[in-house]
Amino acid sequence: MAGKSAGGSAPKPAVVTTSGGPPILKGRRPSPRIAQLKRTWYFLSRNTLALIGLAILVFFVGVALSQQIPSAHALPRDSLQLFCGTYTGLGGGNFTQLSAGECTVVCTYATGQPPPSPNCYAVDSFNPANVPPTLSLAHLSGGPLPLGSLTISSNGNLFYSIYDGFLVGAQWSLFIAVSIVLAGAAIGLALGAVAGYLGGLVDELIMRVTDIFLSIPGLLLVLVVLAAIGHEFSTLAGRVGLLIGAFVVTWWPGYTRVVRGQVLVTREQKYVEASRASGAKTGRIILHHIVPNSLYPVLVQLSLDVGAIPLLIGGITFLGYQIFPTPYFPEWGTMSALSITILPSALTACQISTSGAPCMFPWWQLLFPGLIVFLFAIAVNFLSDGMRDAFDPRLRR
Amino acid sequence: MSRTAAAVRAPAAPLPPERPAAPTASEQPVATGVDGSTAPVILDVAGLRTYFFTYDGVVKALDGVTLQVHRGETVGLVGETGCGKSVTAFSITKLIADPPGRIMDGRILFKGANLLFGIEREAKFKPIKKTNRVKVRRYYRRIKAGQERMTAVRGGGISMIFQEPMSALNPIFSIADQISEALFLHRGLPIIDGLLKAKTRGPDVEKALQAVADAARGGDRAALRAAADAFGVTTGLATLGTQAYYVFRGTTGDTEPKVHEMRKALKRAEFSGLQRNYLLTRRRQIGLESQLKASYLEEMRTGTLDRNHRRFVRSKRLALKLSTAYLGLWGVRGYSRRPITDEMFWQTVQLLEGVSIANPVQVARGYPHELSGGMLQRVMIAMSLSAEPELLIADEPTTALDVTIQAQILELMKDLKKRIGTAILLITHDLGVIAEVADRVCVMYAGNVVEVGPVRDVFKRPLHPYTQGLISSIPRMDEPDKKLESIPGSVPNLIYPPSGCRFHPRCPHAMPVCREKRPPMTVEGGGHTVACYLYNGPVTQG
Amino acid sequence: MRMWIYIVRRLLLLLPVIIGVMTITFVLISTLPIGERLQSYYGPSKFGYAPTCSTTQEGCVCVTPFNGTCPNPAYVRGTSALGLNKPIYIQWLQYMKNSLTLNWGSTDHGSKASGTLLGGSTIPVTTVLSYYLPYTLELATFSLLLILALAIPLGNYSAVYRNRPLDQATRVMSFSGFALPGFLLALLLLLGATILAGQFQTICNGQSTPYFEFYGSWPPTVCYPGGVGPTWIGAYYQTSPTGFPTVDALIHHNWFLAWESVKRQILPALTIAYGSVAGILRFVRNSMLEVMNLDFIRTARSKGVSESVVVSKHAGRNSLNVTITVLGLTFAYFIGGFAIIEDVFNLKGIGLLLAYSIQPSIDFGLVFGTTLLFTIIVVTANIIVDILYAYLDPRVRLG
Repeated sequence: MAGKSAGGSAPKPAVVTTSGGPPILKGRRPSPRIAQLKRTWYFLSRNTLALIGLAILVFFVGVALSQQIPSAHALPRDSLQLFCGTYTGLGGGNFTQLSAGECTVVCTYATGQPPPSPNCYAVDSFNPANVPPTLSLAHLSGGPLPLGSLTISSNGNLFYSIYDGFLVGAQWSLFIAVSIVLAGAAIGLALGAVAGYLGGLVDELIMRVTDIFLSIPGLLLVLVVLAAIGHEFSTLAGRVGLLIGAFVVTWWPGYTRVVRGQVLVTREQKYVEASRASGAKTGRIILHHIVPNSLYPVLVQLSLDVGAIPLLIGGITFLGYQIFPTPYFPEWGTMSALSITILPSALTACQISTSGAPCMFPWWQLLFPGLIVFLFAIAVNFLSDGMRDAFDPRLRR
Repeated sequence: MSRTAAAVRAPAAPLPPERPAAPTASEQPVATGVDGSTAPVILDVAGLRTYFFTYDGVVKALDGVTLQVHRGETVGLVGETGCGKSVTAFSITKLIADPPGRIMDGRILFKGANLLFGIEREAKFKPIKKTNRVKVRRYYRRIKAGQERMTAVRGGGISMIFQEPMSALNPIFSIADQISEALFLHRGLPIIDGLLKAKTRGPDVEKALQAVADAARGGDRAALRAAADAFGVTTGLATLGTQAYYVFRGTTGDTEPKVHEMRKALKRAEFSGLQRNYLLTRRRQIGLESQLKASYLEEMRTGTLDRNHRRFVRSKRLALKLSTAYLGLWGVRGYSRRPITDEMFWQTVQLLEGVSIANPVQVARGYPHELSGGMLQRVMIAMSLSAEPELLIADEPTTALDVTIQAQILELMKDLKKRIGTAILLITHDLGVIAEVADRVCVMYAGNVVEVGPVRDVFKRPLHPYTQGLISSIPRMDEPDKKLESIPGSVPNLIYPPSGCRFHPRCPHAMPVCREKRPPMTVEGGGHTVACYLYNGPVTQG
Repeated sequence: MRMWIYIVRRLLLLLPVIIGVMTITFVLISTLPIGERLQSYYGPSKFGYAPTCSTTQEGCVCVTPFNGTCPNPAYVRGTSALGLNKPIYIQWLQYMKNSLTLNWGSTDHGSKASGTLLGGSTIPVTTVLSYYLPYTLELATFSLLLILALAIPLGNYSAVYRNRPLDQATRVMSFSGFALPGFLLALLLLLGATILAGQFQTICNGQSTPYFEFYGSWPPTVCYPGGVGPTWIGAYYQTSPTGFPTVDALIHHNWFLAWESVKRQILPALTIAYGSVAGILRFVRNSMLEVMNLDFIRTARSKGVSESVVVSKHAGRNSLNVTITVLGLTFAYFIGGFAIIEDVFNLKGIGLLLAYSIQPSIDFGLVFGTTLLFTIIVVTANIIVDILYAYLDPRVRLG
C-alpha cells in the first residue's frame, strides 16, 4: 500500500515481506561498477546546472567533430579552402564577387606571377597572413554582415568571420585543451601514484619538485617557456606542440598533488593491505587498485582545467605574445583576445572610411568570441561540479 | 562532587516579571502498576518513529519506541548494533541528521513538555512511483524553529555523552574553553552573582591568605586543602580556594611570589568599570535568554505557539547586543571578559577534580588531542554534568575504551549517580555494563522495544525470546563445557522490515499471529513488561 | 617556543624551493642563443656580442656596468664572465651566484617594456623591479582582503543553506567569475563603470582621454596609440618612505593622493577577486560541509549552544584552517593573472613589466627577473599562510 500522496502523513512500506529483506529481483543483478555509474548518472541528472553544461559541451564537441580536419584553414598563408556556403559580395569598391555555391581556392602568389589556377583570387602576397577575425568592416557595406559570410577587401586581405572561427576553432581549442589535460593527468597519475604509494625518499623528492613548480605562478611559467624557447619553432605543428608542452610543464604538478592526496587515502584501505598480504606485486597493486580509485578527483580537476585552457590562451594572446605562426589564428581563446586588441584599429579604419559618418560600434565582435569561451568554460564548470557532488557520498541528499 | 558547581550553587535570581510563570506541571502522576517505581517520570517516550530517507529506500529505524525514565534512576537501553539505540537517543534530543533522517511521529514528554512539538508540520512526504524512495519536502524555517526550541532543554535539562571521546571535542579549543561554554550557558547567572558578591579586601581575607601560605610551607597537602577551602569561604568565591590550592601546591620554601600571585588573582574579583559594565550587561542578557528558554518550554508544554512573546524577547536581546557592540572590539572584549573567563576556568578545574582527574589545571589548559580516551571521556562527563541536568543520555560511553578504563568510567558514573542523582539513560550493547550500573533495562530489537523491567528481574527471568537469546549467548565461567548459544539469522534490513513482530523470522517460538501484527506491550508483574504473543498479561500503551 | 621552531623549519624549506625555481629559469635561459644571453645580462652593447674574442677585436662585448658605452680600450670576454664557455654546471653555479646576489641583468632598451616605461634606457632589472613592486603588492593585498571578505561568509552560508536559493545563486556567480577570461571581465567592469559614471562614450576614442576618473583607472593600454598611456604619480615615482603609494600618501597626509591610489585599485581588485572567489568559495563550502558532519558539532549542539554560534564559532573556525591552506594555493593562481589585469588597467606594477617584456622584441632580463620575483612573492605568501595555519590550529604547533 502506498502512502498518501499529499497531506504528508508518513508512508507505509511499499513492499511488505514476511521475513524481511529486499525483494528478490528477477534476473541477474547488475555488476557493482554499473550500479555505481547508474547512481552517479542519477545524481547528475538531478542537477540542472550539470545537465545544461553537458548539453553545451555535447553541442561544442559535435561542432568540432563535424568540421574537416583544419590544417588547411589554419594557414591562410598557403591555401585556404573556403566553405561552401553563402558568399556575399560587397557593394562598391574593387571586390570580386564569388559565385554562390561554389567551393574555390584562394591562393597566394607573388605579384607579377600568373595565378597558378584559374579559380584563384589574388591575395596580396605581402600580407598573406593578415586575416583577422572581424566583422568590423561594417563600413564597407553600411551595416553588419551576416554571420556566415566571408569577405575580401580591396587590397586583398582576407577576413574570416567569427562564425567560421567558431567552427574551426572548436577543433583547435578542444584538441589543444584535451591534449594538455590528458598529458598532464597521465604524468600526474603516474608520478602521484608512485609518490603516494611508495612514500619515503621517492615521495619526498617528487614532492619537492612539485612544490618548486607549484611556486611559480601558472601563467608566468607558460609565458616564460614560450618566450624562452619560442624562437626555435616556426611551423604550425611546432608551435602547437610548444604550446601544449608549455602548458603540460605547468599543469602536471597540480595533478600530481591531487593524485598523491587521494593515493595516501586509498593505500590505507583494507583491500590494498589484503592484496599485499596475498602476494601481489607493487606494480600490480598500483595499476589495479590505486589508480582506478584515485581517478575521481582527477576527473573533476581535469574537467575544470579543460575549460580554463582557452581562457589562458586568450590571456597570453591578449598580452601580445603571438602563439601561432599567424597572428590571427582561428582558435577560440585567441579569437576572443584578438577581437579586443584589434578594436582600436578597427574603429580607426571605420572612421577613416566613412569619413565622418557615424560608425556602428561592432558589439558583435566583442560579444561572440568572448561568449563562446565563456560558455565553454562555464559548461565545463557546471559539469565538473555536478560530477563532484555526484561522486562524493557525503554530499548526497 | 566536592568541588563542583554544586558547592557554589546560589539560588537562581528570579526572572524579571515579564510574564507570569505558568504553573509547572513537571511531575506526571505516579505511574505505579506499570513499572513499580514510585519516582515521578521525567522522560516519557511514546510511539517514537524515526525514518531515514535514502537513495536505497526508506530506513525505518525506529517504529514505535516507548519507554520511561524516572527521576534519579538509571535505565539501560540494550540491543545489538543497528537496533536503533543511538537513533533513539538522538531522537530524544532531536539531533538526528535532518537530511536524510526525520522524526515522523511520537510524543516525547520531558517534565511535561512535548519535545516533538511541531514535528508533523515540518515536512511533507510523497512516494516516488516505481521506486521505493520517498520525496521529502522539508520546511526549513519550521525545522529551524524546532531546533531553537530544543536549546531550552539541551544541556540544562538533558545532556549527552557520546561514543567516541577522541573526536567528540572541538580540536582547536582548549578543554577549559569548551567546558566553560557549557558552564556559562547554563549557570551563567550564579557565576556572575558570585563574582559580584565576592569579598577581596579586609583583614580576614589577608589572614586566610597567610594561613594558606603557612600550610603550604608545612608541606601537608590535606592541610593545604583545608586552608585553601577556608580562604575560598572567606572571600565568598570558592574558586579562589581552588586556585589557591593549585597555586601553592608544591611550593615549600619561598611562598612570597605565590602570595603575590594570589593577590593578583584576588583582583579579578575587583573589576574595573568596563568589566563591571560587561558583567551587568551579560547578566541582563542571561536573563533574557532564560526568558526565551522559558517561553520555549511553555510552548512545548502547552502545545501553542506564542510568537509575540518570543518576538518581544528577541528584539530586546538584539537591542542589548547592539548597544554593547563596542564591547565586541577584539581585545577590549577579551579584557572585559577576564573576570568571567578566569572564574569559569577555575570552576572547570573544580569540575575536573570532581571526575577524578589527577592534574586538572594542566588538563584544563590543554587541548583534546593531548589527552587519552579515558581522560577525554571523563572530561565529557564533567562537561555534561556541569549544568546539572535532570537526565544524562550516555551513548555507548565505554565502547571505545579499554576494559580497565571502562571499569573506571563506570565507577565514576555510579559515584556521580549517588552524589547528584541525575537520571541516566545508558545505551550499550554490553550486558555486563547494564548489570553493573542500571536499575532498569529496556531491550530493543530492530527499532522496537521488546522488553522492559528491573535489571535483576530481566536477567533472571528473561521473557522475550530475543532477550533469552541474548542472555544465553554470554559465555559463562561456571559452565565451561556448555555450547555457546547464538541467535540464528541476522539483523533484518530496515528498509524492508519483517511484518508483524520484527523478530519473528529468527524466533524459535514464532506463531502465525506473529507474522501479522506487532505484539503490544503487556505487563507481567513487578514492572516487567514484554512485547510478545507468548504472554498475555494486561496491555499497556506500547 | 615550539612556534618558533616551526617557523624556522618553514623558512629553511624556502631555500630549496628558491634554488629549484632558479634552476628552472636557468634551464630556460640556457636555451637562448648566446647573444641574447649576454644581452640580457649586460644590456645592449654598441658592438654586439660574440662568443669568443681576443682582446682588441671589435665585436667583443664591452662591459662597463650598465650604461652601454665603452671607454677605450676596456674589452672583456663577456663569455667568460658568464661562464658560457665552461661546462653546464659551472654555468649553473655562476647563475646561482648571480641570482642570489641580486645580479639579475639589465633591461634591453630595444624592447617595448623599456621603450614605453623606462624611456628607452638600460637599467638593472632589480632596480626596475624595486620601483614597480610596491604597486603590485598593494594590489595583491587589496584583492586578498576582498577575496577573504567575500568568499568566507558566502562559503559558510552556502554550506549551511545547502542547495537552497542562496547556494545556487552563489554557485552560478562564482562560476561566471571563473569562466570569464580575465581581460574580458576587466573590460566589462570598465564598461560598467563608465556607464555608471554617466560618461557613456565609446571605450577607445583614439584620443588619449583620461576618463571615468571616479571608478576605475585609466582605459586599457590598447586604447592608446602605440600603447603608451598616461601614467599617474609619475612613471616610476619614487615614493618615500615605504615605496607603497597609498601608505606613503597617508604618511604624508596627502588624502587626495591616497584616495586616488585606492580608487585606481578598486576595479582591478574586483576583477581579481571575482575570478578567484569561485575556487575559494567552493572550497570553503566543501570544507564547511565536512566540518558540519563531524562529531564535535553534535556535542556542541547537545550542550545547548544555539545554531548560529555552532556555525560561526565551532564550524567556522575549523573550516578556516583548511581555507587558509587553499588560500596559499590560490595565491599562486591569481598572481598569474596580474600580468593581464595590470595591462588592462595600466597599473604600474611588475605584471605590467612582464606583459610588455614578452612582446617582441623580448626582453629576457625582465622576463626572467619578473618571474623570479613573482615566485619569491608566492613562496613568501605560502610561508605566511603556514605560520597562520599553525597559529590557528593547535594540533599543528603542539605536534
